[in-house]
Amino acid sequence: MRRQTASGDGIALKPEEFRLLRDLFASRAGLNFGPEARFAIERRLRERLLVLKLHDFADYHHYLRFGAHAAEEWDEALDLLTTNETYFFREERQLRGFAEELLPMFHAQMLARGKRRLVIWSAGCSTGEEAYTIAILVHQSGLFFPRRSTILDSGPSPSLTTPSAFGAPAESPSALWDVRIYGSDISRRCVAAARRGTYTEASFRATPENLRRSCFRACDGGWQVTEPIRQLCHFGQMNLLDEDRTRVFGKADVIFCRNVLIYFDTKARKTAIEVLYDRLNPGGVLLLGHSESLLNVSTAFELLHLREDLVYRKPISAQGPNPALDDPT
Amino acid sequence: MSDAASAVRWLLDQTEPEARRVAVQQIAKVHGSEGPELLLRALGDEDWRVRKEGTVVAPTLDRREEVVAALVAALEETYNIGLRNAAVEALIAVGPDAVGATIETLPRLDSDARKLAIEVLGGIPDTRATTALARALADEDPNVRGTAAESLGGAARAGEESREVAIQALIAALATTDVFLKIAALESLARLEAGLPWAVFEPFAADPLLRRYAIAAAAGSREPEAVAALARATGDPSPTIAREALVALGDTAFECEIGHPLLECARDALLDTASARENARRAAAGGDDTRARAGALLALGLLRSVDDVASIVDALGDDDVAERAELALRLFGPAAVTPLLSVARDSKAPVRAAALSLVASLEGAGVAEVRQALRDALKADSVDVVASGVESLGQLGDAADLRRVASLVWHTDERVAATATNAVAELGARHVTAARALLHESRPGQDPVVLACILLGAIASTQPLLDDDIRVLERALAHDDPQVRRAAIDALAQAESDAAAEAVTFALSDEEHEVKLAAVRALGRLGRPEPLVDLLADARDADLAATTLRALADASPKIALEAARPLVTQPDAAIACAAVAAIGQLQLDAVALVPPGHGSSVSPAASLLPSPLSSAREDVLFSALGHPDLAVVKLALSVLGQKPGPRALARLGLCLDHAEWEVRRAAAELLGQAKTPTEQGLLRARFERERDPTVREAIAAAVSVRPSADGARSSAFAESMRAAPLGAIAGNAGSASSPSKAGGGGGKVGE
Repeated sequence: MRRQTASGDGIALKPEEFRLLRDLFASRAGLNFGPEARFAIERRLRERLLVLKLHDFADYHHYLRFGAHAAEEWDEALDLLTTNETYFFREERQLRGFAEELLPMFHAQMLARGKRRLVIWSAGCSTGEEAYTIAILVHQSGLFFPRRSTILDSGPSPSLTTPSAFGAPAESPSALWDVRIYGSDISRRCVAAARRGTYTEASFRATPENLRRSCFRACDGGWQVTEPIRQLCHFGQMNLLDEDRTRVFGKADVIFCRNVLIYFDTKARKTAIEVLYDRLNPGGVLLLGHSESLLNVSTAFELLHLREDLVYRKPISAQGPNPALDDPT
Repeated sequence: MSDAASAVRWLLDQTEPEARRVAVQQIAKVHGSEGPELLLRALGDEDWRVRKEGTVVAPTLDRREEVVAALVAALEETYNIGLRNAAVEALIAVGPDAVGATIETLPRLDSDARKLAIEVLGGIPDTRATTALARALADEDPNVRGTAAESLGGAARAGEESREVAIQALIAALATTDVFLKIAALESLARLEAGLPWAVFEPFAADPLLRRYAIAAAAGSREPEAVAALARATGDPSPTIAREALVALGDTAFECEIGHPLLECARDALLDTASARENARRAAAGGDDTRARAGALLALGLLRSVDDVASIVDALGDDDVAERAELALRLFGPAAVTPLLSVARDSKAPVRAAALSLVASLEGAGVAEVRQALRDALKADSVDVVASGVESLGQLGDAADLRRVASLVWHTDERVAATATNAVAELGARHVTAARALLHESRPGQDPVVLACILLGAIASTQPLLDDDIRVLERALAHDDPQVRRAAIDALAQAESDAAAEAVTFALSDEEHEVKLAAVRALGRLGRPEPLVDLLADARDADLAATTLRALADASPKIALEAARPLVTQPDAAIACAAVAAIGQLQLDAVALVPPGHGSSVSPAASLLPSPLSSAREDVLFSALGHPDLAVVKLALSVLGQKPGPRALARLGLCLDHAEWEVRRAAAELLGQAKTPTEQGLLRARFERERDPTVREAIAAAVSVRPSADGARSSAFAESMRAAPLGAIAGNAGSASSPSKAGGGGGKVGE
């Protein structure tokens, strides 16, 4: 008889069940799991079998396809499979390039065009650390003074939310910027966590102390992002492969999509890149993780050399869909 | 003898009743002349369970004419009473096919058997049966006459035409000298809700034997004389008659608007009747007779004595009569306010809460007195009372009340908090200056964004929002409480600006379902169809698809129709139902094709879809008729049947030959409403071939029902489909329909 403990320890993911689940996650969510992922999947999904009172992973596969609450279960499964630990100011060298080179570049270009709107998308934002890091860097750059409402911030003690606290003259609203940082993730739980903006010590391993003091405040659950930073960030749940759903925020100037494409198979990766390309404004840039590249995926982007890094830029002349992507089918 | 018949015969010989009952079930498999004979044997069995099984099997047998003939003959049985009674039940189960033979045999039957035949005819909703019953009112046997009169009380089941026939026959029967026939006729007229002039009943009101029935029958009359007679009868020395009158008067008063002349007429008669008040007070004091108490409360309301306010207020706490008690207090008008508040102050919390709501809605009440009572209620210990006070202050409060109510938005009791939210919205919309002032107030320890969303929503309902306001709402969209995000979306929905639309569009990606749905609805209101169409591209959630289609209909009916087209044939029945329902909601007399808020050079006449359904919409619904799931087919039928044009009627006619009995029945009911010769011909032709009793009944009703002027008597199917929430329909989608309901041939239509 199969041994089954309270934590479901006795249920093993058989090779044929692994293949079934692997193919299902690839077709529905574009996730790519190599043979080495079998035991990680077994470990992460085992609790779901216990909760759903299922006997084995074959039953779970069936439940995901035909179960009465399959849609909710997909949320649970994706939460468990895609949630990865992250932290503020990850990949410092790239962030330095973003803050010191890209932000001034966009600032100058936009001023020249008379446009004071900066949109940044953190695609695959997990629990929000990346999006808030970007917001802190934009804030710290001193270049973009965001427009804010004064309605709720006119109390007796001035706060960071007032324009003057950013160093911008409150009497010149035309100098203010529309800054939006969108964070998206396929995991419902991650998006909810990002919205809360409360983090434990583990998220601060690379955060300078002065920034932690100025951009976070101690709270019950750890440290919470301060309101001026939170106000710049908007979070939503979306699948990067679902092009229709990614249109909900128009076009972006900068897209961070770091350590996301590594989970995708070739076909899904091409689809995702096509979506990212489509969502960028001409001249906008795409920042990938340090181990990722567009080699053999797309030639539509042009390379932009920063002092310490390389990023991908959508040509300023680009119009319409990505012309250099092969048909993924 | 066939093998099947032999087996049944052998089983029917067994001593064990259960074996014989099982044998009866097998009679349906016996083909040929032995079937009726075996059925009669079953119906004559000594065990009631065997006989009951026989009545169930009877309508399923072949050779229906022979079966009916055998059953009709059994009515003459004098020895085996069980067989005779079972034959009555079996004939009723056979339905309209049994009517002709039963009528034909009437003249040959003795009085006992005639009475049974009359019971058969009374059990089958059929116009021919009603006519025969009407004739039987003149039968020489008093039992037959009485049974016929009683049976006519149910004639409305066979349609309006039958009802009219029954009413006329029963009125004529009132001229008889047969007292029992008169009683039966009066009772049946009451059941038929004949609504006849008081003059018809007045002669019987003086008769001690008939008075009670005359009073009950007069209940449906709206004539002043009838109402006055009812009011006077409430003081009758006979408790039975007084009770009957109180009930009837209460029903009449309940249907009248306040200020209706009939109410004053009733009041005058009550004041003139010595024991009326005393009887009403006794009945209103309580007891098990809820109907009498309800009527008595209204009688006291008509009498308007301040002494009775306490007992009426007390009834507010009784769910069975609370509605009548409320109306009774409304009949007092403003005069009730002071005594009502005085009594309510010391009452139990639910009664006090109900009294406050009532006082606040009384026309002509002194606003200052009521407001003060409502403000006092905010300090009560009971959350019921607080919620009631808050709710009413939302309607009656002034600018100063806005701050009072706003402080309750964060109340720990969810109901109070929700009521306060609504009240703030109402007050804020009426007192915009006060609302704006409140926006700038800080409240230590309380999240200002919550109140800001409510206030800005209120302001937005009366005037355009400022850029600053929009930014506050955008900020609220990032809030970690989904309720706040929903409130922000609701406010942004009224903003009619690109910035608002952009913010709401991003909320389509919200991780909370309710917030996402709010964003969908808001985009509909904002007239932004594009993101909604994107949302339907890969619809997997029926709830979301339904809401999106409804919102699209708000934004652009034309685009909604195009978006729904591919969804009606989706294998997922819940999504297909959502799409069909959305198309149903597009079916208005005239639907604007241009999104709200979008200018157009299209003339007003050209921008409207014609009624009945445009061809495009009909085509989409026709394709839904081919869906493998019956829930989708039935929903599509109901939409097509609402205002069918010639093409839709033709398609409904095809559905009379559908393989599934439910579809055939629905088609029959819907075609029955058309009342054109072509459709009537189709129905009659199908009636000849139809074997399913349910469908036959529906067809019989369809060809006999006369359309009423106000359309109040529409088909049960149409009513049920209209009343059923989408969730219920979608929830049934995929469930198996009655598999044994075989009937006419024909495959699916619409394919």
